[in-house]
Amino acid sequence: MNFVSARSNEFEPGLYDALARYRYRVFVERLGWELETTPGYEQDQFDHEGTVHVVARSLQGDIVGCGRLLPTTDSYLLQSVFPQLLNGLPAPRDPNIWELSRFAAMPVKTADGDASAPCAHAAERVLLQALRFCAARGVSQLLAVSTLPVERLMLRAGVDVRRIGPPVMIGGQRVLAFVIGVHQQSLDALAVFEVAAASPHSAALLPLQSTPFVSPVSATPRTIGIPRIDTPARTVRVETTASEHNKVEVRTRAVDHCRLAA
Amino acid sequence: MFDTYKRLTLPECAEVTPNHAHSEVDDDQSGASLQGVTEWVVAGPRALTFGWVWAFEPNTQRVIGRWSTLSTNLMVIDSNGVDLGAEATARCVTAMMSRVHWERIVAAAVGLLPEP
Repeated sequence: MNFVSARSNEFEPGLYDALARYRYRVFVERLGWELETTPGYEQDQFDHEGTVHVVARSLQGDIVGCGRLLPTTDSYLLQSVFPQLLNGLPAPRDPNIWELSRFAAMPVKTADGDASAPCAHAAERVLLQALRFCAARGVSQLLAVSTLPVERLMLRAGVDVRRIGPPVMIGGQRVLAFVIGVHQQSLDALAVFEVAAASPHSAALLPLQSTPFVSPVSATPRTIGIPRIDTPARTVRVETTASEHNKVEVRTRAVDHCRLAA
Repeated sequence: MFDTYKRLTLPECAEVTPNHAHSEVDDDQSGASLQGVTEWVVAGPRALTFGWVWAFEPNTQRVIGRWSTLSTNLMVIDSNGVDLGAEATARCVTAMMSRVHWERIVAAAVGLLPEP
């Protein structure tokens, strides 16, 4: 996996279009977000020539992850679209505070056919690139509007994450805002995943709860307790009924969810 | 620096009664025990939020909290207004949740026990 972290007007020809197509497949087709956008091509009012994007590509050249970085000195998602998630706090406007949005890490089918194979620890590595870009520019905090599984993934990775307010149901999902500390603790925690991806034998370095394993149900590589970002998104709403002998019948209904930042 | 904390002293925490907002079971249940997440809230102009991972231990038939996973916007302070840190806050939250018997409520919410 390789990364580009740059303003879109610095992209190589064709990369921005590929990113917009990837975002459409992820956020509209896969996650079912109701976004007002051109079919097949996702962009919004925050995407302009100066917008910074992190793009992750597989060795085959397919986009497998992304993130968008917006300074809070200009209009941004939490302030403009989801102010209710600020929990009564004023929206920050600070050159050292940016916002991460359109955060995704999953392979999707390209126009040519098959999707790339999942990349190891893709979500953590995309986030690491975003934090490195910010750290190099003196950014100390990243705001994020996201879902509980994404918050949980970051916490498990050892990233400094602080909630702004409680999760709110938006579009059928529990969405919340939090702050990511852009400092050495978060960078070091995520760098472990980069090392592990480069050397599969170093998986022992990873936080215990993030040890990859193969789910006996789906035989899909997963991470204990939390869906891996680089595998198909699923969460389960559970309807349970207590039965004899304290057994519990668990009926599950798979629901696509946004493991990704908005 | 964007400060997201809502700060309370220990006596103020003792007056707080969190309400259950949501609990669910993880889809991935390959571990030794059934587990999931639970969300609690104290409503207000600056709401308090608490989320953590719970697990059901089959041997003891009890729901336990994985408090190292706690995520909250609460910060406990001393009488001088000094932050007491994440560990002190987590201890305060566990005490707060014990008062409302969170384990029973979560167990009932995910179907491990009848509704109270």
